[in-house]
Amino acid sequence: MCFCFFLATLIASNRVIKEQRNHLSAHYALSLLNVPPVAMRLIAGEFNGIMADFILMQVSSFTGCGKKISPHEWEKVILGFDQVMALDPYFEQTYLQAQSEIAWGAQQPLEAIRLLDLSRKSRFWDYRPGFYMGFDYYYFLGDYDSASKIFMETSQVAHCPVLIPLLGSRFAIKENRSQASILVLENMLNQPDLDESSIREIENRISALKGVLILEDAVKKYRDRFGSPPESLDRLLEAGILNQLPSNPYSMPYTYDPLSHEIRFDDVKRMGK
Amino acid sequence: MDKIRLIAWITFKDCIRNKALYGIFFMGLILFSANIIITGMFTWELGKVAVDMGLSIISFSGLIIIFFLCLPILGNDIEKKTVYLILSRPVTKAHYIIGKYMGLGLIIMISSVFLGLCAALSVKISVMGAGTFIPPHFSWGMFTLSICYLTLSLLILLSLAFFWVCTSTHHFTAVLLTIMTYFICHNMENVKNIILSTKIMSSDSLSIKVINAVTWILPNLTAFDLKTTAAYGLPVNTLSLSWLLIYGVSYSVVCIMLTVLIFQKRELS
Repeated sequence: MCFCFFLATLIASNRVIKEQRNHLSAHYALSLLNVPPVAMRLIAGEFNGIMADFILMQVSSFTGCGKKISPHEWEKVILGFDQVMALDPYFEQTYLQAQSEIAWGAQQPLEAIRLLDLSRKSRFWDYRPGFYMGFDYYYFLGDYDSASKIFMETSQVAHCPVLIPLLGSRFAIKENRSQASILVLENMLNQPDLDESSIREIENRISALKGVLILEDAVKKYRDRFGSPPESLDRLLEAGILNQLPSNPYSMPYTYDPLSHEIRFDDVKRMGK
Repeated sequence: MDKIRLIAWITFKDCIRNKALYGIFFMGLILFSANIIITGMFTWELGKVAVDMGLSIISFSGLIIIFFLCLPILGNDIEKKTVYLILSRPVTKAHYIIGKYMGLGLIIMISSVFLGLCAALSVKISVMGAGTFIPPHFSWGMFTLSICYLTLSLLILLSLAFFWVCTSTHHFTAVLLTIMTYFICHNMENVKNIILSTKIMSSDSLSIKVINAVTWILPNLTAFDLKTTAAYGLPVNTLSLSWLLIYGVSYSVVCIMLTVLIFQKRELS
């Protein structure tokens, strides 16, 4: 009799509690240990891998439940990613989610870049953290130079797609960056597994960058001779500094901005904020 | 040598009959099944998650075997004086300690093999049909090597557990000392790295000197942890692994020899 009473009470109370807690989703709390990431390894000991998996699962559930996340909550999310990186910097899912959620969701590209850099240093076989870093610099921050530098560094990773050094060279508008880009691209031509179209792409890009270098050098000579930069590239011909303008392999004339003195082989526009 | 082998075999049979061992294996099997479910919650690098979980389960089960099977067997022998039954035979204390260690060590090795096969199966099932989500350099050879070094770290911990049981007056104290030793051994390298990387103290501070001194006394079990290396197929230095093997074996031997020396001097009554 007593047993039946308590069994009935158990079933009824369980039903009530389940109904009460039904509305709760993963969003109601992100429970992370509020410890610095460096201390996480002490807590995890030899179980750092699964602890990283567990924390990432919590963070993913929290960010994936669809509700609006406040700035304070985003700080907790970033702490979670930092803790996962401290425990396991090699995990692919961490940097992919950091890129997706911190750069796009939280609109904090610098934090995303910082997390991607941790992954990049550990995952020496993976070009993607570097690719995403370069993208964030270009797209969110409008920092073409940093984007170019990162793309060029990333192009050294084995089996890196040809697109990445091509992007890096595209953003290389400063003289020293153009020269570095040419060196990287010429080195890439030595890779044994390149197909014909990739070789053609790289050769075209090298030719375009060399044309940019010739024009930049000519603009510098014009400035040294006349005290101010030219108003257009035709002035270089008129002044006798160049006999002819270098030909652009992309079938369009080189563009010159008299205000910023940038010379381009394409018409890519700045998109950064 | 025959006496040692006999004691080892009796200890081994004793452990096999112990129901706690089956409980541990059953727990391991449940966790391996859970591994397949948990892996499904991740989108990328399922192989890494499965390998991490599998190897962590082996490690965890090994620790449970040491704390809940090996330590009670040894501790009870001494506390309940059943060791007299063995020592009343023409068996020396050294034979007893070495035989016990070999018997319990064999249990740990066999459970590692069994749980390792279960882990491999759970990894295989977890990543079935998910070829692109396996780290590119993963190899079963490295997975097996990681289990071997994990087992070696458990054998080192077992030798330390023997040392504490034979030197302490109460079984519970030995358990606490073994747990403390386990945490220190797994964290001393991390503590040193944290202190040096955050520059809280200089590299010639007293804390660093103390940590360096401790590394000569207690084993650095972090070095035997190859889970991340196995999960990602990271490159390994064969020479380093060879030195690690020599270090692990020699530490266990030295620890057992010290235990034998102390046990021979110990008054059991």
